[in-house]
Formats: sequence, C-alpha cells, structure tokens
Amino acid sequence: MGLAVAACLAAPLWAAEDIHMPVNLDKLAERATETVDVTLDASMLQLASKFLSSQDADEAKAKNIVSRLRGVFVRSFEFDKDGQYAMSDVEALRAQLKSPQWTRIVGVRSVKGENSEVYLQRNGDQIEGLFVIAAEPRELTIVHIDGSIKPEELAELEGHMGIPHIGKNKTKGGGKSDDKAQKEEE
Amino acid sequence: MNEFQEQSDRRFTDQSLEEQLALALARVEPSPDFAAGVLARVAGMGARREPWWKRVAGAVFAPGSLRWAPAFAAIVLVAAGTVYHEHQRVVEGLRAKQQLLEALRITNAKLQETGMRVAQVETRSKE
Repeated sequence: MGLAVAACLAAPLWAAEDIHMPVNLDKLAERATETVDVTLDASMLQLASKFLSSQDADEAKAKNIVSRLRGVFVRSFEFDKDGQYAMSDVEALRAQLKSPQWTRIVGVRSVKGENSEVYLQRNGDQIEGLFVIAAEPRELTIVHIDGSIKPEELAELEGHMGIPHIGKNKTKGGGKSDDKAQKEEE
Repeated sequence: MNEFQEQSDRRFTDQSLEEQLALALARVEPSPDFAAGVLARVAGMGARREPWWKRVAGAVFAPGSLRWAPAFAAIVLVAAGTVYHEHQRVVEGLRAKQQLLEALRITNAKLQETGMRVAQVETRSKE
C-alpha cells in the first residue's frame, strides 16, 4: 500500500487529464545516452511566451500556438544499442489513451521495430490534445501537447526557430519490403 | 530757596551722566597679542576640518542615527532581493523558451517521420 502511494507520488503529473508518466519510463534515462526531458505546465508556458517576440513573424506564430496550450511534455531517450527498452514500458501510457476521449489517428508498425502512433484528444470539432509515441530500436520519444493545437500549425514553424525542415517527398524510393504497416485514419 | 536748590541738583546729575557716558564710550586699544590670537585660532579650525566621507560616516553612525540602521539594511535587502528575483525570472523564462522550441522541434520531427512512414506504405500499396 505504502509502495503504491510512493509510486503515485513519484509519477509526475503530465496533465490535468490524468495522464501520468510511468515510473519505469523515467528509469530509462539511466540507460540512455541522450535524454530530453521537457515539462512545461501552463505557468511555464506563459512565462516562455513572454520571451517570444510579437514583432518577429515566426516567434509571433509560436506565441499564438502557445497561448492556447495548457502543457507541453516531452520525453525522448536515445540508446547506444538495441533492446534497452520494451514496449511494455510505454504500455502504461497507451492504456491511458482510451476512447472516447482519445482517438488514435495514425498507427504505423514496422518489423524493424519502428513504430509510430499519433493520438488526438477531441472535444467536438476542437482538438484538445496531441499525443505521439515514436519507438525505434534505439530511440523512444513520447510527446504530449495539452491544449488546442493543429499539427499543420507546427508545420508552419518548420525550418524556423531551430525547427528543422524535413522534406515531405523523401518517401520516394524508400520502399522497404519488410515493412508491415498499419494505418488508421478517421 | 527751594527753586535754587532744585536747579543746582539737576546740573550736578547732568554732569555726572556725561562723565559716565564718556567713560563708557572711551576708546580702548586691544592688547598687543589680540590679532595673533585670533589668527592662530582660525588656522587651528581649518586644520581640524575632516574629509566629507568621515563627516558623512560620522553623521550616519552617530549614536542618535543608528536607530535608522535596521530600516536602511531592510531597504538594501529588499532591493537586492528584487533584482535577484527578476534576474532569476529572466533566466527561467529563457530556459522555458528554449525547452518549448525544443519540444516543438521534436514534435514536428516525429509527426513528419510518421507522415513519411504512412506515405511509404501508401506508395507500396499502390505499386
């Protein structure tokens, strides 16, 4: 009982919508060669927003996006060898992303172990949250954006403010016969 | 008789007053060392004049002025605290901004990667 309470207290709150970061996921940082841990709640976003210029067009766009967010949470781990994490490590997160609140809009699985999932939290026509689980053999990334955001708004920032431009036509010639993909779109 | 006596007394009194005034207003020469004494005293006052900071410190730390010391210290502490707090807020804000940009960068990159994988699957299924 005491252990369970301690585990609950140790698990950082991801958002007001009761998404909790599993404790075992934090333990992955010990094995990772590179870790990104971003936890920005509403007050920190508000503070960050004050340092985004309204005069600069790109920063003004980011400021506009941030003004509708309640939280931004990112965990990213890079490992120097395969098998440093198991999908069961993210299962606790996936279990919290249930319908009708959350909808998985994209799920891509590869036999190479490159799996991506994108979930949206909807309230009517409004998107109230975005959740991304990107798992590769040597990299695991989890993103939760709490608030009203459209993925295309992020694309508008592409190539600006340190956000790299990723070519959208790179898929040609990338036919990997061993990929077994599953796509789900609404 | 009486009239004569009165006139005589008045003349005597008037003469006495004139003499008294003459004595009181008579010119008196100063002593020979008077000027030297005054000059020596002025020179001594000039030599005792302290630098401004000593006079200010003396005024601040005079026994009567020490009662303001806690208030002065409190004002200095509050001012220093305010400056430090503002500095910390700026540092925290810039860090939050960098974290936000990093988070947006990662999110965008992962969405793009997912989109590319979906496009790959679509391309293969068409082939």
